[in-house]
Amino acid sequence: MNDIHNQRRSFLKTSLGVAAVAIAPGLLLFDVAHGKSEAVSAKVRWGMLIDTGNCADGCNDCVTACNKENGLSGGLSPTDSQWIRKIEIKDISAGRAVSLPMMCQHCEHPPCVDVCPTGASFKRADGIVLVDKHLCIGCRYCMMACPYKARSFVHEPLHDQNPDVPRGRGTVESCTLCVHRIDQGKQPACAEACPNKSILFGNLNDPTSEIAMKIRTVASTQVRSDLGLNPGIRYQGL
Amino acid sequence: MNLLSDQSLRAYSPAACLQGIARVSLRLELMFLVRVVMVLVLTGLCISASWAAQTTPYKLDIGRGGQCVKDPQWMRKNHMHLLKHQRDETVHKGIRDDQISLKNCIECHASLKDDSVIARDDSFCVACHRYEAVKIDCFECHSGTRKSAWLLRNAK
Amino acid sequence: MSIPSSSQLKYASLQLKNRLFYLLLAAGGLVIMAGLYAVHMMEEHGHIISGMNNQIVWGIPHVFAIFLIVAASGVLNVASIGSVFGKAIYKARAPLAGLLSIAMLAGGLTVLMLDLGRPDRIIVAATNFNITSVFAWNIVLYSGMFSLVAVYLWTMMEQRMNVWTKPAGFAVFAWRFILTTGTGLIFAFLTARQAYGSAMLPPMFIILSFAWGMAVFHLVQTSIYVWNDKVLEPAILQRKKNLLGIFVIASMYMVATYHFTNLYFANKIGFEYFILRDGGLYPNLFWWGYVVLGNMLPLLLIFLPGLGKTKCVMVASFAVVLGAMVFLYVFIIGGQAYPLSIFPGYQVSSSFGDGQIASYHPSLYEFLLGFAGLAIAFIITTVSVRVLNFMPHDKPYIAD
Ligand code: SF4
Ligand code: SF4
Repeated sequence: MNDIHNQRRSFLKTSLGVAAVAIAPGLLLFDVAHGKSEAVSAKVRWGMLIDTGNCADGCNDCVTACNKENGLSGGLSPTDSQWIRKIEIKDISAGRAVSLPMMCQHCEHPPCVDVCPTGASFKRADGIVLVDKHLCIGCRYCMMACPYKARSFVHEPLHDQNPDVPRGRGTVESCTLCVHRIDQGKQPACAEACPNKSILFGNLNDPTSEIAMKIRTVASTQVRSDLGLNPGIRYQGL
Repeated sequence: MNLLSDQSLRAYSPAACLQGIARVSLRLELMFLVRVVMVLVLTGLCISASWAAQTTPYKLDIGRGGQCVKDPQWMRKNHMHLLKHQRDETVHKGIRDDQISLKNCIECHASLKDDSVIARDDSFCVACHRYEAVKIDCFECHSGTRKSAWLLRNAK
Repeated sequence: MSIPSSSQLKYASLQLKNRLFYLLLAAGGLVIMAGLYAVHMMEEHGHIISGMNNQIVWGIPHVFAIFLIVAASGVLNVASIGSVFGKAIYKARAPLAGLLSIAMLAGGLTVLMLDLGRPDRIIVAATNFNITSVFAWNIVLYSGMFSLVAVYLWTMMEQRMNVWTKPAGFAVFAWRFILTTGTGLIFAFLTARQAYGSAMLPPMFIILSFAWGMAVFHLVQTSIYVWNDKVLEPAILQRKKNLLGIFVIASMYMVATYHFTNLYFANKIGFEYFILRDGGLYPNLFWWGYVVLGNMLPLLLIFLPGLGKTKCVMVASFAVVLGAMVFLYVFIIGGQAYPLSIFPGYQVSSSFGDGQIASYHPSLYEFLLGFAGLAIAFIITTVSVRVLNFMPHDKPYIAD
């Protein structure tokens, strides 16, 4: 969690500075003050460790939190966007059932980025895979290429989006790891919402972070690790 | 060209003559069509131009207004470059500037009546863009509402 | 009462044909307008009015577009045999083949472009180029193909340029192989999907393109001959229909190999059972639509003794085209309907269709758009054939 504290600290510093600058001329008093003037760097790689043992069957809190945070309708028809979904899996031979949240796995080698003709799908230096909706032409090739079915296409015109989460008709979208919150030093909404603390979010590259330490000590897997995409989301107890 | 050699070879038979006539008349027809289209387009342009000239200067709700991040005249001309540059910085590098951001424009310029830069004909973005006949491509994805107001409304 | 002279008769029929020509143009234009209306509706309401969804992301428009693009490459086979291998009867047909190729490419690309979520941004695809993307390569391949074939046509139709026909023909010959390979690669690179991700796809698409292109060529050629009150010399018909037959057999062989190799990979067996046996609509379409209608019927029509006349070949070509559409429907939509295996070996369920066969009900708008692509190809061909000379001119038949 260290890195988060650091992020918070620097965020506080910048915002205080900004507030000071803003108040001085008395002009920007109303400013939203969310500044962050440095580019993200590859020293950080954001990831998650999801403890499926803790994830309760039938609990949908992460999904609800995601929908609220990002302004998704929460509809379940095949044309509705679902950035995160709960999957129930059952071992056919052993009969063991597990429930887990599935979303964009923020691959290190993301096929969606490889296939995107315009470079709209891209990976940020800190490992977050995003769609630049200014460039997306809506060809849906990335949806064909993603092995986790993580992406949705916006089938209808949208209105009254969250000012922090622009989304619109005719473009493809997926879990952003709540990039707008991360840039403010906060955690993704799902991680915060989970009542059982099953979603641990942090910097995989920092050996002293809680997530890195836990990955060293407990057995965790990446879904479809055979594809060699090295996702940033890991699962424990699969 | 094949066409010419073909014609000159068979130019003596009556059928070929008729075919030749048909070809020529076809070409005339095509040229006529092209002309009709051109005239239509030109009249359209003239009509719309005179219509635009007649419109009275628009009213503009500048919201809270106040000191802008740059000189207003400069902004009128260049705001799109600023926005576009910042959009790439923010989306790809995570640089979230305090001042130069669409959200900040909206914060100051959303109407004090409905907290929006796009809701009405005289809203800040709409009025000007309509006058200049430039399509805005921002608000299909971005919210046109002042964030503080949006948060207040959605907290309920 | 005077008996009309032969030239008067000719003139009357010419007038009739003039009228028919404009009628055909109007019909084609109408279909295009209908397609544009569909595009407008999709712009207005979003893709919600199409049958496509988050599970079946590519639908009917892609079936039409890929058919047109693959056939556009295949039809050039006729030109290649003429220019590269110097066969006279094919040489006489090379201009028509080139024209058809451009027309179909234009139709297919238009459909592909208008189906985008943001067709207004197509310029972005040209200015922002991701070199790792097969899609982006294909954009280059398609535009290159356009220009190459245009140059090729020019070298053939402008007598002073004739010396360049052969090198241009070679360039087109090579380019079209790469182009169809590129089309195959679009699917071959989708390694996570059981239906695609096979190295068999590029060669399979190349062979399929031969058969589909040849079939389209036959259809158009026969129509042009009928229009001009001429009959194709039986010896030429004989050779060309045999070639079509051989291509059909070869494409069947490739499709069979693709499915056999899939059966060999443990993770694809489930998909093969689905598409060939258990998948309801899809196996039915595959066996009846593709194998029987698209392959068996044409082969019988071509090779059965006593058949193989102009009409038979025409019907056979039409059947090959229909079979091609059915094949692409099964390949594209059936391939997406089969659930992605995210947790191999587990039973999976979720609110997002995991572990379930996805359903797809194509909407009228999608068909309108698809047919508009065909209509674009049709109009380009009809107008060009009328104003320029694309009619094959055969010298007295010499066996070469
Ligand atoms: S999970 Fe899918 S959408 Fe996310 S990075 Fe990987 S390939 Fe891209
Ligand atoms: S839909 Fe958008 S993000 Fe996805 S591949 Fe196409 S252009 Fe790229």
